[in-house]
Amino acid sequence: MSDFTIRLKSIKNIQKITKSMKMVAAAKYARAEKQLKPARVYGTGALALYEKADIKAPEDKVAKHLIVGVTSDRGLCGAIHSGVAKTIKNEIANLTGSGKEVMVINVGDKLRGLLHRTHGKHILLNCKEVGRKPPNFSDASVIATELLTSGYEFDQGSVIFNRFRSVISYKTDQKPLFSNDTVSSSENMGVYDDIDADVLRNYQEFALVNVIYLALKESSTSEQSARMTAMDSASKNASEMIDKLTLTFNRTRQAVITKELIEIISGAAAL
Amino acid sequence: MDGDYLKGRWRGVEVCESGVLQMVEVSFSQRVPEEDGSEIKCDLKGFLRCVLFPLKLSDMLAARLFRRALPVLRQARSYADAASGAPQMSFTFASPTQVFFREASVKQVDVPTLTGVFGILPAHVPTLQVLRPGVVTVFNDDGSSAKYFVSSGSVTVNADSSVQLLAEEAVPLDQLDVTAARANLEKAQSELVGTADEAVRAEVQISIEANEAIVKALE
Repeated sequence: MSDFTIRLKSIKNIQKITKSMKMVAAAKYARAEKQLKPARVYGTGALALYEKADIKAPEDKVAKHLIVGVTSDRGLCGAIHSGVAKTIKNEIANLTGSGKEVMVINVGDKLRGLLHRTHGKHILLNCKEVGRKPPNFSDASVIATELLTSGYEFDQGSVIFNRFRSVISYKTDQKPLFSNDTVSSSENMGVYDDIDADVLRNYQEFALVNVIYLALKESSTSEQSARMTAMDSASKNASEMIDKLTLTFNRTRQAVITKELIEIISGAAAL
Repeated sequence: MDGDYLKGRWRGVEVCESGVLQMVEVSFSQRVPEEDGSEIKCDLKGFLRCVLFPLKLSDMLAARLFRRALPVLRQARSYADAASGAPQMSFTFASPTQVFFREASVKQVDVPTLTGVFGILPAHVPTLQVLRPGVVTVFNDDGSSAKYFVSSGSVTVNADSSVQLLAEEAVPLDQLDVTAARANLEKAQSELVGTADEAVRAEVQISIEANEAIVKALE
């Protein structure tokens, strides 16, 4: 009987905690979604050049790949981190299978934890303290600066993140990153007039920051919405368990009382 | 009347397989004169019979329609012209936190770039540019203009006349205070004199440039 009460008490506490986590996640999600709207316009604007000029890295020359995986530091948000990690692992397998070199940049501690055991030698950079505060443009620029000064000359890359679709759904998505050489040697770039190397390099760096910024924003919105739904189902499960436990607790209690009564009565009847 | 055709313009009605009435214009050339030099004029009824009957239209109906069609001016069947000759500029102006224009149609945009101030109109040649601190002026289709101060960023003009102006920070000009800008400028100038470290000097010079641009824009 006593272990019932202990168990009931602890599950009730857990339910309180998950409920409050859900409210916090809901508030953060509302703010993140509001900030995502302009960030999306901004990010798609940054990628517009690459889409309209149809810039693609030449298949044979590409030897060095870069993958930037964007998640966060905190768990309890469903399949956010594992989705990105799975995509990255698949990409690494494909690329190393065809003989290309791949390096990964982890944005978020969780991703590092998922990757460093099996793909440790592919990790280039780790970024921590992601997810506590909403991401802003300077975070993205810090990541981009570190990437550019790391010395890894990549030919083509991609950012893998969770794209926010709705409160209950998100999808792991990829956006391409192009190096300076790929862009300047692409055939459609000739259409663009009056570009010198310096301007192109500045433009590329700025575009890199923009893509990373978009990925950070989308990822944080998906994470908050996923945490909200995860905590919601956790509190529902906890209340279900509480109901079931209360029933069995009461039944046990009544059974004990009935047993004592029977003993008393049968004892009295024996006298 | 084999190989017979009459020259002239004629408008009639054709009933196609699907039963849909279509206006067709039938032009037919002069019949080759006979060897004996006499020209054969085909009469209306005979013409209708030989042209329209294969088109599954009865004589009576054709004659009625033909008579009705006669007074109407001749119209050639052609496709509509492409809508509006001048290309429209799809203008997107955004900062990471705010969207000012999203695929809007504007007349002209003036942007300050590293190589000078550009005026971008629809059908501008495609180009990529990097912005410097300065004022962006947007001229709307109705003639009004709006000014914004941008700190830095990039502008892309694509071949399909879409313009993406991405600014790292952008504010409407009326939100800037000229006295605060002047104070910042003086502070930055004095800092420049004080320091010798290259990186810090570069940062201070950037701040000086930005503040100068703000002050100039607000005067």
